Amino acid sequence: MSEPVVVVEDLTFSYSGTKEPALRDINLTFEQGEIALLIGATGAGKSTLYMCLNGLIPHLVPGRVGGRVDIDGTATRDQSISELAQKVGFVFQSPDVQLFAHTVREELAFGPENLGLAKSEILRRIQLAATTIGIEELLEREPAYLSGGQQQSVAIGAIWAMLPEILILDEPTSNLDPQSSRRVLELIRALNSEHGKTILIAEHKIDAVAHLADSILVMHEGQIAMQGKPRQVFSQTEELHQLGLVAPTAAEVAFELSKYGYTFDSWPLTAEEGIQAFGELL
Amino acid sequence: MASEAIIETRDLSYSYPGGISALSSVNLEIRQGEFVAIIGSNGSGKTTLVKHFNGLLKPSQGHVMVDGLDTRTTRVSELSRIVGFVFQNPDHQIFAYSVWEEASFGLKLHKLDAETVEQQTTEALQAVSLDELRDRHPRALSRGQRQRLATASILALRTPVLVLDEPTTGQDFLSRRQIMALAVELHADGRTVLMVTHDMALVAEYATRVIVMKDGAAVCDASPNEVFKQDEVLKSTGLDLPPVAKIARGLRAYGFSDTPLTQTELVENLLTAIRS
Repeated sequence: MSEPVVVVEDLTFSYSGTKEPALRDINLTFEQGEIALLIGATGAGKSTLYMCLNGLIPHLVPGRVGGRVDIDGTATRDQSISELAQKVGFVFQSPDVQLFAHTVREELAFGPENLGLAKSEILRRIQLAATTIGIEELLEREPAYLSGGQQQSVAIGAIWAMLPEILILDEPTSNLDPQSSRRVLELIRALNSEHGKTILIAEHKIDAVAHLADSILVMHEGQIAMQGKPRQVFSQTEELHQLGLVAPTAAEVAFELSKYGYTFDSWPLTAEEGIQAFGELL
Repeated sequence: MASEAIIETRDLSYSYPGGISALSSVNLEIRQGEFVAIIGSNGSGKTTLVKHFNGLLKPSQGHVMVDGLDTRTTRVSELSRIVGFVFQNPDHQIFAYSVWEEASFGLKLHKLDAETVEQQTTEALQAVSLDELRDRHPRALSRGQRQRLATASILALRTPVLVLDEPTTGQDFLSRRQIMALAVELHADGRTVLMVTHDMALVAEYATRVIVMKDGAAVCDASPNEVFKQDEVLKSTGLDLPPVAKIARGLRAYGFSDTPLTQTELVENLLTAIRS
């Protein structure tokens, strides 16, 4: 881990025409190359936070902003949307909201074209995105006729072609079957470990993603309610429950057993860790 | 609970226009009062199958019988009195200008008297905790609330069979629990519940029977625990064991022999095993 690539200080935001702030006193930093998992109930403010990170707030969405968001050392209000689009990539929850072109190739070209890049660079970006994401054989296919998992990969590829440093993925597996979910999560992990990208991922499927994360952010009613390493956050099971959230299954089981006096040196998060930890009690 | 078939498919095959085969020779018998999970990867034919149960799709070959009626020769309006269908995306279903209007629309279509419409709509909205928002515009609801509204508009019809297509996709933990508590209540009331899902924890916790679809065929039809034992089926369909079953299986190496389906069962079984 090196220096922070995202710094959020005392961020508050209220949508125009509303009294209640959608975000209140948010303070956080993301280190270069970190995977942060964002959890929170519907309406906790996750989408508003994304918009603050990619500059839609304050540039396009009307409302009152307090505090500041620095991306790559500069405040978002001092950077244009197109500058920010090259730094922060946002992948929508449903790929069909994002995908619109007739071929995957056009889909991948769209972002770079909008940046006004030279043709040779656009072609290079398409190739790079297709190779990195593993969708080369899909380039001439029509996105609408691909499987859910393939569509999600194309949606990530289209953002990848912009070469952002930071990727935000909003529930990337929510419409996918287990096998496609695994593939997409493996892809996200590879983009992080092999390419050093900073990743913010929101998911309700805690069991599938907890082990990927370096840090956990818990949002509740527009605030950061909990923040820390996965083991630290997921061992505070009672606090999570009070926020209407749950820990991964293994952590929940450990929590129940701890009520009967059983203790764990390392709080289990994955099924494998659970098997190890509970096996030792047997 | 009665056990006669409320839905039966006989050699059901279906091809989408253009000839792409989506279902091939599916033979199933769903009995009244069952809680059935239909699982399988994207594109395996799950949704195509359940769309035959309310006549949205008609078989290319074979027959689908719903409460003794052949769906080929029965009007969708007739079938909709028997099978209620809650779509995955509530926005595909919702169209009215108020919560109450949306929830009562189907009843009005069935030409029921005003008093019955009022009573059944109110009950359905109460069941999903939306009765206090009856004058609200559906667009002013959260996604979770819209999902519940879509469910209420089907509940109001009091159909003996309910089909829930991916009922918990994109829902947070509390909404998920609320939706499933409602499904359990309806099932306890004697209704037949069919749930299409990818969520294996949901399957383990709630279903009494699991139908696994692959390439348009029903490749496995058994209880959750039976299905979870079949590694080959799970592997070939890309399905995962739910976390509870995965942990229980791993613990066999430590002499643990139970097959819990819910987290609570796992904890109870573990406590018993540790103490013995």
